[in-house]
Amino acid sequence: MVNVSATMTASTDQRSRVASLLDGASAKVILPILTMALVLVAWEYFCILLEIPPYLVPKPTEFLGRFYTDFANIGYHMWATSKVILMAFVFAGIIGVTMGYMIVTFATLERGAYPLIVFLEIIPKTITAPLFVAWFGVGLSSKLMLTTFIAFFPILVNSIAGFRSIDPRLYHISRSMGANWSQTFRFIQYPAALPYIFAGLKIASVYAVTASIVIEFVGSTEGLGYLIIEAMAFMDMELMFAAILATALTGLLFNLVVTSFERLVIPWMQYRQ
Amino acid sequence: MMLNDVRPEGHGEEGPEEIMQSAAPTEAQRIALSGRRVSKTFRTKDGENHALGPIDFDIKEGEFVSIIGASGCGKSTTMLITAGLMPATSGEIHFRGQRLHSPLTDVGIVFQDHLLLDFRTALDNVMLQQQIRRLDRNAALERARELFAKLNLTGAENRYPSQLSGGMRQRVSIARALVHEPSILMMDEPFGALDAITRNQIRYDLELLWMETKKTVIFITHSIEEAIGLSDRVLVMSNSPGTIIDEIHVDLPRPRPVHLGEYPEFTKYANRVFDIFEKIGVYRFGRRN
Repeated sequence: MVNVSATMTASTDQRSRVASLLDGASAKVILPILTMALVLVAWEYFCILLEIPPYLVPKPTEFLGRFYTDFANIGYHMWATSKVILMAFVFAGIIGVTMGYMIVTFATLERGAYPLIVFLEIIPKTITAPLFVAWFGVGLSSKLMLTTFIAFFPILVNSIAGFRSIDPRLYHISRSMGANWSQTFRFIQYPAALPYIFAGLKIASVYAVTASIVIEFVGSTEGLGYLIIEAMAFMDMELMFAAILATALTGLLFNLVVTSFERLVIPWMQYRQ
Repeated sequence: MMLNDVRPEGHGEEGPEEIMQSAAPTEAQRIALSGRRVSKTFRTKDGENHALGPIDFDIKEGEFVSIIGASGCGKSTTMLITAGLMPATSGEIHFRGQRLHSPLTDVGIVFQDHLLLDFRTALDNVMLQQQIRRLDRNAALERARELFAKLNLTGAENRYPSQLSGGMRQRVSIARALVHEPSILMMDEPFGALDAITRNQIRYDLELLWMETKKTVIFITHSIEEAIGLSDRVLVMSNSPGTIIDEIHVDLPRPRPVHLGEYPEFTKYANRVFDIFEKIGVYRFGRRN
């Protein structure tokens, strides 16, 4: 009797330990990793089972290995692309927020510029990559221009929404306090628009990666887009997949930077309903 | 009185007025705010909408004045014009005998919605006054804590507006309007969005606070109970265009009980407002037997 009950407690103990591992905070990390590992194992297995030639689809072990052995080369191109994204991000942020503020503040500007913004917003802007190369040549300036141009729109549109979200009666209160425009901006408009601006920055971080890669396809001598095109020319699928992985990691990294920056700058967000 | 006598002829704003300011008799100083032939016409796409006036009013220092009327009768417009936040189409506002040309700053304003900044804690919302007006921080902080205590907000200092109940948010909003110790408090349906129980409590607290500080108050409401329960004087407004059609001096002892309905004096005042409202068509009570 004693023995039986002892084993029973042991098994329920184990089960509850597994259960507690699968819900709660750790599940947020463990479950996705498990899923990813499963996909990679299945991928590897199917490649072997169906005898897929490596010049079509490489095995995960092969391109992950390549990612490791060629990291010096991949890392160099990763930094070249990241540099463009980082600089474009700063430019797009400054120009986007400033223009958003001006457009909301001056009604004439809004009436004049808004239809144009909506038009430019809806056309797929990556198609202008060859144009930017033709105008600004192969190299940093054309990459920077296109990436800024593309990252700029979500930031602008969200800044406009942010500055517009403020109840106009709040300006009655600030004016009765005797606030000048810079105080109104600093204490009310800018912090009120920040969550919207960050929503724009998050979208921009995704767009910026795409934009920088596309223009590197068209005309560039370095960067992950260049590396992917090079891999295609040599039919080097392992390098191609390793480069795609590097691109995904770059995008992830930028998103992480924006998200952590957001937590730092707007700590009150967690209290919002 | 002297001010009023001289003004119509002496249109020159600079010369004679300065002399009068220094020699102004106490009688004239007792008027905090006055409106003369104030009217407002809004331009809409359907043409012009004559919303307000012309109205005349005088509000004494330390007086609690309510403006009561139906929705859209121009009560809020009157308040905004008086605060210098909206230009009048015609007429003028005087603050302590001087014509008002820019927003009044010796004032605290409370609207129906709390209009707190959701990125600031309750205390920081109140301290916005200190930051913008560049007041002494410690003195303002002390005053804010005092107000928090009087408004039953102790413990809410470091909470964000989204963590507070509707009634508490409105209390914070009142604290923000008083922390810089303005001489005038303007409230536009401040309890309009609150439930009946909260409304009674906050009304009672406001009266006690007012009795301590004796600020000049302009209180916009559509509640007869609030108007008579709080005011020294009630201005009754008619609809489109809004004009002041009656003035009721409320002579009841303070603090007034919350359950005013039981008092015959209250009923007398309330009936007077009901009668006016029925006469001008705000209420349409049929004959019931």
